[in-house]
Amino acid sequence: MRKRLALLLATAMVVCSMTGCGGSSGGAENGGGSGSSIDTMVLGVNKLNGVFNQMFSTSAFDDQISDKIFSNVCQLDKDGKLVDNAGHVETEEIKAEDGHEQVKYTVSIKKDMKFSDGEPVTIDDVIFYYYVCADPTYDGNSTLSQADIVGMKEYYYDTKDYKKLVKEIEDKYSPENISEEDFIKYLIDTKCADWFDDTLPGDVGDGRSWAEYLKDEGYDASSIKKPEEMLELLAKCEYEKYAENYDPLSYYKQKVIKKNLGKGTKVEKIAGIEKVDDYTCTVLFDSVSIKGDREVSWIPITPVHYYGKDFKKGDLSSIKALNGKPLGSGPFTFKKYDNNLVSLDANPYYFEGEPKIAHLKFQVVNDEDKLDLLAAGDVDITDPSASLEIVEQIKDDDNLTDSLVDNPGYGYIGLSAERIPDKNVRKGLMHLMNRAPAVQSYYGELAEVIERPMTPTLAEYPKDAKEYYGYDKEKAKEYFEKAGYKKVDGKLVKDGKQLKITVGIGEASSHPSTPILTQMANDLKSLGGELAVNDLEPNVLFNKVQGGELDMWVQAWGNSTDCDLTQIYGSKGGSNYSKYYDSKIDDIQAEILKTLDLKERSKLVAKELDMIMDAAICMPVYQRKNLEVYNAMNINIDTLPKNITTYTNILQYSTDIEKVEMN
Amino acid sequence: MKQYILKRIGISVLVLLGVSMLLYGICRMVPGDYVANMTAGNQNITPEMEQRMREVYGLDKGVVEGYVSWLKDALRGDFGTSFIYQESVVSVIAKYIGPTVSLAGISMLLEILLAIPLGIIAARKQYSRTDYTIVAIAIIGISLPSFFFAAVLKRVFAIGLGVLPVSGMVTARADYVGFAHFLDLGKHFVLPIIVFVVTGVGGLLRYVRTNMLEVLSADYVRTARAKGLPERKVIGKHAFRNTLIPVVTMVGGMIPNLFSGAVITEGLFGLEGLGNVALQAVYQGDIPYLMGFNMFIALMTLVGTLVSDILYAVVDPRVRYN
Repeated sequence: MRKRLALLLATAMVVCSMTGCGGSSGGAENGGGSGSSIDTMVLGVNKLNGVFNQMFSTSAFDDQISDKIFSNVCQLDKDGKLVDNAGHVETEEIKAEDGHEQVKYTVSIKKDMKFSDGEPVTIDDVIFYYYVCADPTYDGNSTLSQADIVGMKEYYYDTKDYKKLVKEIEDKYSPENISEEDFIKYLIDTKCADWFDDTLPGDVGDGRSWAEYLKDEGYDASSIKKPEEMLELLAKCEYEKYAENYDPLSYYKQKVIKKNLGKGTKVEKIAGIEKVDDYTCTVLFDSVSIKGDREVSWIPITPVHYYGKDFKKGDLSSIKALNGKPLGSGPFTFKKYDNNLVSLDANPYYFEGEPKIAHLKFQVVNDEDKLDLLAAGDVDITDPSASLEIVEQIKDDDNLTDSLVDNPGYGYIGLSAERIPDKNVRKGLMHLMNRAPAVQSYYGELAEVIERPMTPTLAEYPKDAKEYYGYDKEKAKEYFEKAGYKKVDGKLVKDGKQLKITVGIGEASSHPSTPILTQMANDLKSLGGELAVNDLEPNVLFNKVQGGELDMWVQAWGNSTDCDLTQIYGSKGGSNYSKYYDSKIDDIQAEILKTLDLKERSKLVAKELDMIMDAAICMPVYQRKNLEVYNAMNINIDTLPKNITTYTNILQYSTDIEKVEMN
Repeated sequence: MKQYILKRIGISVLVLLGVSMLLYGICRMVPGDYVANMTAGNQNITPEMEQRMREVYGLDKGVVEGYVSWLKDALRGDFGTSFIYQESVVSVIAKYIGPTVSLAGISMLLEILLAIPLGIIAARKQYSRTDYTIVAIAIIGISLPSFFFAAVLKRVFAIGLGVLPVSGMVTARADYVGFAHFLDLGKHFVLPIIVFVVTGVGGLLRYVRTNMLEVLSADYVRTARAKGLPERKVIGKHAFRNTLIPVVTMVGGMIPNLFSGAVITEGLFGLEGLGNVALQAVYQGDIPYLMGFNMFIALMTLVGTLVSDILYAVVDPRVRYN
């Protein structure tokens, strides 16, 4: 019995391994590429959400499909520069009546273009896009509503004179002007900025109860039994003693503006957007911004006759209802999405000429299966995660060719200026990060160490930047000593406290930056400090970073298309997780945004990045590459666009896709 | 009986209410909400936009307030709009239920059809070669990690022999219609079903075997044999029917698995079903979908136990509910 079982298992194993070896060569006949011409191209893509409208898309993978269905007014060329596509944008700086600089963009589209249903394309289809993205209920990824377009705020907040409204609010609720009554009302409504926990005795946050806290502040709360009464007394105390710590103005701003939104539509038009003729419109920006041209022209032309039939300000539901049935003027027409497969057909009306491929299909595939599917001929183009092993396999298969392009993002290690306030300590830590061996061993040629916190895919990145903080234990020690740390009994201490740093990393077991932290922990230990490495689930890590609960963290930025860093390093930035506030950085960022000349701007960016490096709040680690693999068995490789880059790859963009031919 | 069923339904409603509270609480406690996940890594999002999005998605409300508004809508049959799919939760579930139910349904049927006869054979020939072989295979199945087994099957049948597809639901290049399309779909389901059945059949099989052994040693089986009844009748009529009682309970409990049990298998073969969708929803914090889906599963669990309790009475005449 046992013998028989053993024999059975052994045979099974032999069969498995034999068929495994012959794998890559055996499946060729599956592809259907037996000499006869193929009219269908299959792209292997990651999981889709089925929102094929870039205005509302919730995944970059859905956008890969939308980009083939819609055509953009302008698009990015191989270097990430804006170039004409279905239209053109003209920039003109003008002086406003009061003398400040304004910028007028003239957006024009080609004449005689048609949507895939045969309807003509006009400038209304461009303007429609602006209005949807500027809608007060818009919840997609476009930042157009935040652009400084004349009349945008009035439209967005639905008030005839936004400046006047804000002034009124400020006159009434700014710290100097606010009445005691309004202040106390704010404190009670917000529960003292979400501090009061509605319980008795409750917890102030440091172990004291509310009554104890009030007693320490000189208020008698001994007779209070109800939470509401406690809140009233607390509000009184906070108003009288700590008013400067609260921000009633923002609260009332939100409140008044929101109240304003509820009462029907008062503002129907965005004043700065004007239609000139059927193919031209102008968009007036109230200030100079390097983003302006992209905001108005790197956008999909969206047919108003199809999406806009029931569009009313404040209600986008009729547009969203069509998320699964897109219609545009791009190279391909949407046919159906079912069984995890998106089917598109060539658009005969496409303005660059009908694509050579009659049918384009997107099949959802697992990352692990991508190479197998390519080898078997089931998929023609796909993008497996770039690893040294995968690149080797591609080299071994004669049918496969690939292109490696830089990912438009980078990995970094962030430091919190709030939790590690001493710049010298941060600098010391920076000197303990040994990046090159970690990146080299993980990625090999698939990534490079970068020296400034910006992706080198951007034209503004200072290509000649030198290493700012080299790996140097002695220097680190110097900085720690400068900060006042001394080694006592083998421990690095200041004011009796040991230097202890907590760092968060996601999925440490397979993270390229793990060796940096391991070495850092050892080095810091030998210096007498301690580095606690927290291996966290990515969501938890991000939550902790946002909540400012970590001294250091390992993360990555993605999808950079411009050099604006105000959200990350600006004082008012929503993603300024380091909490480092420097008015000099704010100033230079404001200047960068206004500098339209690339050379001048690059100089400023280099200066800004040096300032950020000097603040020791971010150590850039690696710039990795993305992989796109083509199956020469089915595709005529010579017809693929030359010089495929980050901004012109086939999966993500539709650049020149109409010229690609199958065998 | 009728009264019993009505009472059970009444209790179920209360249980569902409790479940919904717990679920909503858990969903909201998950670190990193949808807006945070969606905007993570995007350098251009302003705090104002994030705030606005939280308002649009109802994430600015407290847990209690949020739950009450969810419950109000749910009672009117409105389960909200999925954040990720931008479509009503009900239609998302309707869209993806097909593949899941076909995969899990066929697999469960096969499991039952395999487990019951094999379990009975193993029990009848206890400690024989047949018994050992069946039990060994069952245990191998239970112990096999499905991702590994799937990889082996793909190597052998898809890449090696080239007879079955690696993954996906249809042959992308083919454009089949009608019956050919149906066959194409079927072909893509073969490997997932094998994975599902092989890794899942063992538990039920061993359960059947253990119960059969117990029944076979019962007095009435010995009596039946002593009466001179043929073995076929002893097993088929006296022993088998009594084995069915616990088995029916177990099968009833498997009903919710029809909708949720295929998370890993679906993911491995690139099938778009409810399990895979739910997994994404957890990662991204799609609260409306998670609530709708989990309530659906909770409902199915309650229906499953109710059905098995009723079937209990059908297979065992001694059981009476009052």
